[in-house]
Amino acid sequence: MLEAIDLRKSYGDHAALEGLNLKVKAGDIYCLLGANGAGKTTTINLFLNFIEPTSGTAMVNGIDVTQSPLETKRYLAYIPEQVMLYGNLTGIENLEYFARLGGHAEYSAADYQSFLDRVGLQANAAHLRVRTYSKGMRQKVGVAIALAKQAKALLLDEPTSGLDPKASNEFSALLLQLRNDGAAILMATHDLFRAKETGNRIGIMKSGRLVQELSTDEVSHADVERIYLEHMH
Amino acid sequence: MIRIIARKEFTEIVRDGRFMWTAALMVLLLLTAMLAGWQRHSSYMATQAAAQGATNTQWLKQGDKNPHTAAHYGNYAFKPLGPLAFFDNGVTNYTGTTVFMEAHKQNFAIASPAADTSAIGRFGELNGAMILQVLMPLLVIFLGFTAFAGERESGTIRQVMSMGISRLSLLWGKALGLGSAVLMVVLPCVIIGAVFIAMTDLPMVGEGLATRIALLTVAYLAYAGIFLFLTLAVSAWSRSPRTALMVLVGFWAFTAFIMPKTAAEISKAVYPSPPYGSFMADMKAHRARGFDGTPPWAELGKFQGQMMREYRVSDVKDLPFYWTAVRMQRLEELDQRVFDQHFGAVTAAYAGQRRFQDRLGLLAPTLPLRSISMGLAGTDLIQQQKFQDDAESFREAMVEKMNGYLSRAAVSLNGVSSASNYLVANEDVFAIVPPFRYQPPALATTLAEHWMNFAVLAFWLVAAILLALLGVKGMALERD
Amino acid sequence: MYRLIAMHETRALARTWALWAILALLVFAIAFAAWSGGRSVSRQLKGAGDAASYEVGLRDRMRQETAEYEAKVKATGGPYEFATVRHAPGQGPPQGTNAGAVGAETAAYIALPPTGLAALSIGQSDIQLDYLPITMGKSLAMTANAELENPVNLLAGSFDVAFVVIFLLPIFILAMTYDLLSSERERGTLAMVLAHPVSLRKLMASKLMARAAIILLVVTGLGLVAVLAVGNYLETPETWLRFALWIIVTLVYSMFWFALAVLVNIYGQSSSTNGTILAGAWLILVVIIPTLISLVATTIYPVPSRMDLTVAAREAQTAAEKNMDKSLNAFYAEHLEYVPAGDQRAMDFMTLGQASANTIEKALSPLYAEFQARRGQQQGLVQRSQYLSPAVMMQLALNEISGTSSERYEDFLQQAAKFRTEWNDYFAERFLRQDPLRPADYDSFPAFRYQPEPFSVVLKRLAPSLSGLLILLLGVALVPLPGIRRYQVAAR
Repeated sequence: MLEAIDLRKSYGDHAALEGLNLKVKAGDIYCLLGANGAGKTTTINLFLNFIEPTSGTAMVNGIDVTQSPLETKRYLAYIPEQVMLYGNLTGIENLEYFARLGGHAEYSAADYQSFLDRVGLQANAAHLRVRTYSKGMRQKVGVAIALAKQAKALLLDEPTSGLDPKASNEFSALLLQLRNDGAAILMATHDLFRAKETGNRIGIMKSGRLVQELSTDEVSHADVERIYLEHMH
Repeated sequence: MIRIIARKEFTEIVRDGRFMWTAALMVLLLLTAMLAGWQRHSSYMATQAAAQGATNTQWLKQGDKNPHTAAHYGNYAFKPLGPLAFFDNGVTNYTGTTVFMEAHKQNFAIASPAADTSAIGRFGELNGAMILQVLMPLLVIFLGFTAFAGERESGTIRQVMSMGISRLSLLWGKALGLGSAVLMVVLPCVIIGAVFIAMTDLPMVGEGLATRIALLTVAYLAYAGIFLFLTLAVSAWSRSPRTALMVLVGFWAFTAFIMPKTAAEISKAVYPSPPYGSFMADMKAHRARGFDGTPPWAELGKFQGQMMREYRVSDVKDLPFYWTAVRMQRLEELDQRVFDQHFGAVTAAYAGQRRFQDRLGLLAPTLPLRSISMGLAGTDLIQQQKFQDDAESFREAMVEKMNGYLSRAAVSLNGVSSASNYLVANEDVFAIVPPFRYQPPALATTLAEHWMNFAVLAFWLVAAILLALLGVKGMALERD
Repeated sequence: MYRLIAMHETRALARTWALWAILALLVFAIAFAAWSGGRSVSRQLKGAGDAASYEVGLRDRMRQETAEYEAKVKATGGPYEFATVRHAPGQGPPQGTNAGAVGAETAAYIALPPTGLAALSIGQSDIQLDYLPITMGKSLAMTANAELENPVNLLAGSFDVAFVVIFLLPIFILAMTYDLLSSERERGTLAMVLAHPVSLRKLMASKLMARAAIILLVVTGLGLVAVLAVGNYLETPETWLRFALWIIVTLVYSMFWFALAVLVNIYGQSSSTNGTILAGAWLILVVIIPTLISLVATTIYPVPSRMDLTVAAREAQTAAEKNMDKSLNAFYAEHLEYVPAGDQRAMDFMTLGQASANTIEKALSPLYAEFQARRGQQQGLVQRSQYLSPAVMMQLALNEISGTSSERYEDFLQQAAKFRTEWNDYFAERFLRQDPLRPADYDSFPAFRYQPEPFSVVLKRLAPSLSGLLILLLGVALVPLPGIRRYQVAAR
């Protein structure tokens, strides 16, 4: 579903990404690990076509994102570290706006409510202005947007950083649900524990290169941490 | 501590790209405005002096004629300006520069420069005062709106506060740093302006020049201070720098552009003044009807009877003075009451409008500053009024002297009823009218009229400082 | 898609206090401007009306006297004579029979009528007199030309609708658009939106449409209300043609400011930087450039001072007087009432007075011509420099549309000069022939009828400003198009 082929991005002399090859299939949760500046966010921005690759191709559902930036975004959902919403609108109004932007005008008010119920947003919160939401609530709305959009691929940029353990746990459970529905998920994260728990594949990045790929069922928590730290030295 | 903060602020501001651009623009405009103002002022004064000299000579050399005819020929008063007019031209463009002083008629000052320039002049005049009144506050705002809001957004304010610095010293430090940066731009221009004045050979109209310059400096510093502390206060209160900018620019537009016009429009409604056509029609009608309802010819008849009774004569030709001249002078006095009432009403309406606008200075600090600046530069309504009053006094004295001379010198003609009943006077007689001299209002008069404006300005400064103190006291350190 | 985003924007804007504050200020400003503009126009009309009716009253009284005299002459069978001197009431022919007295002692006030939209843009009409007293023997150069108004108010200028549109509307527009993209980027919603199949161009266009629709609907709506409230001649199509032009230039001018905000936003700076740049741009375009143009125009083509004109007029007067039969003549020319009854020389004095006025006018005319020429040059420089600032173009355009332009006033002055000749000739001829005026003649006095300029002339004069505004708008609107590709959605 998501595929990077020899993806490169450089800013002048500095190479942010050096020939990334990556595949995330439907039903995968692929966790990108790496230090700050390793190229994780760059990778996600390239899939979103927020930045142009220097060379190589990023493909979504087999379509080149630079060729058809709008077409590919039909399949994508994006959940950044902070899901940013319109503070003056309510949760349900935000959800409706983004769903319609994604081309889904078919939902009824009840549908929107049920999306929010599915992600576990408190029933009374849907009609409150988003300005009053906690971070965890916003992330839930982010997932609801992905649900409403019926996204085939999710791009997550450190979605759980700063969440308390309970909220973080709830979020992971939602991801598993989405995966079970057949979504391909690419998640940049610093949380080794979460990556091992939720993901089925792990990629470790360093200075713009993918230095190692792991399958989570083949390694233990301790292994993940050891391998990660080895690369960081 | 305050000095350390001030130095850091100053360095930061001066290194910012905003400072370079705005400072360069300000300096360039100030110098252009002052040069152009100086050029305009010098040429105005040269024209004025030449015109006044020429008409004074014309008065003397008008040729031998009847003294009353000479009063009809009259003289002109041309308004001179003090040297500070080059900095603040005030209402000069919109006031008449010339008063025709003649027998039987009081005239308005005519020939205002604005009537002869294109409509684009109404965008305002680029002079030193305009730049300091309008652009300097914007410079302060541009350089200062991020003072607290920006540090809060970038998070540095928490670092600073964690060093154990009191909020008060932070405020004073920032004020000092920002103030020095603004002074660095403005001060050189002020010095250049002072050098202009020191080097001039133009006649110095008005006294107390040094005091005027000092008071002007104080007023403008207070004005800059008001904006400086308001900027810091808003920056401390605002949630983000962009909110601070919006609020400050909004206030700036309000005080510098919206309020002067609003105040003028409202004052016109509160103290209405007649348009030219209505004024002239009312005054002429009143004159024909007589001041208190007795027509002038009836008044003159009464006066004739009174004179004859007083001098116990049965015919005017036996009066011990030239009756025609005394009669004309009497008519002059009768008309004067009408003039005084009608011109006085307009003067009073204008003064009412001006004071009303000054009082609105409580809403906008630009209004009192504008008044003070014009007042000290000698280009405000008060001095214009003084000029017109001086011209009117001159006119009355001139007519009185000419009629008086005629009444004494032509007694022998009283009985002559043929067309040869005239007396010819020459230059020596005309010389009993001394040349017109305008005495600008004394500095004390100006200050007495403007003390309220100084008080309002001081009120603003104190209020701004208090707001800034409250602002930093209640300032949140976290961005929300 | 456009509609979806625009609707969403409108909803989000409607929940901010800033929008309501801006709209409230706009409504208040236009209402206040219409009120003060309306007052200004009715003040002019009152002045013109009072002045004219006073002078008409004077002539009516003279006519009354001649009618009584005519009746008396008919009854007694005497000749109907010309009053060479002023007689006591009821004795001899009244002043009203003397064309010289009627033409010189009463003025014909001629007025430049306001257009339907005069209240929207006051222009120079608070300084220049829109009604001029025309008398026999007095040159237009020496005729009163200034309206009576407090100089403090003239300095501040009018708070008219033109001021709101030129000065305040851009501030409101910029306040709503200075952070068009930057605020969404700073809040992070831009990335959220662009993760959906929406192009940046579409997003920006829709956001702009929402704002433009709100502002422009309000402005045109309030403009219409203002015209209905303080406009004149609402029944004539010309007023509505002018209003249509008013709407067009206002839309073009507003769109320029919207486009400028987009242009600045494209460079991807922070909201505060955008705000600073746009506030600076406003200051430069609306305040600094216009005042600089004015400064340059008055420095390069200084209009000769009226003080010089005064001295020259006096020079000519002195010379003319010295040619007269010495001072006696001068005295009697001014004081006919003292000329002993029956002195036939009285006529000569008046004739000489008339001759002297002609001499002065002749001597003055080259100076006055130079004066006018310099004014023309100054005006020409302003016309050519207007393209430097949309505010200047807009002011000239709105003055033209409202009928308060210098050109329309110049045209009025020319009509006034023509009428003055007509008035002067009519009375001078009757006077010099000593042809007594009869009451019936009072109906055949020259009457001034203002010749309105054809509307095509208005359009022609409007063309430079309007096309300048259009070209500027196109330029500013097209520049951002390539730049939009390079817009940094995500931080590096």
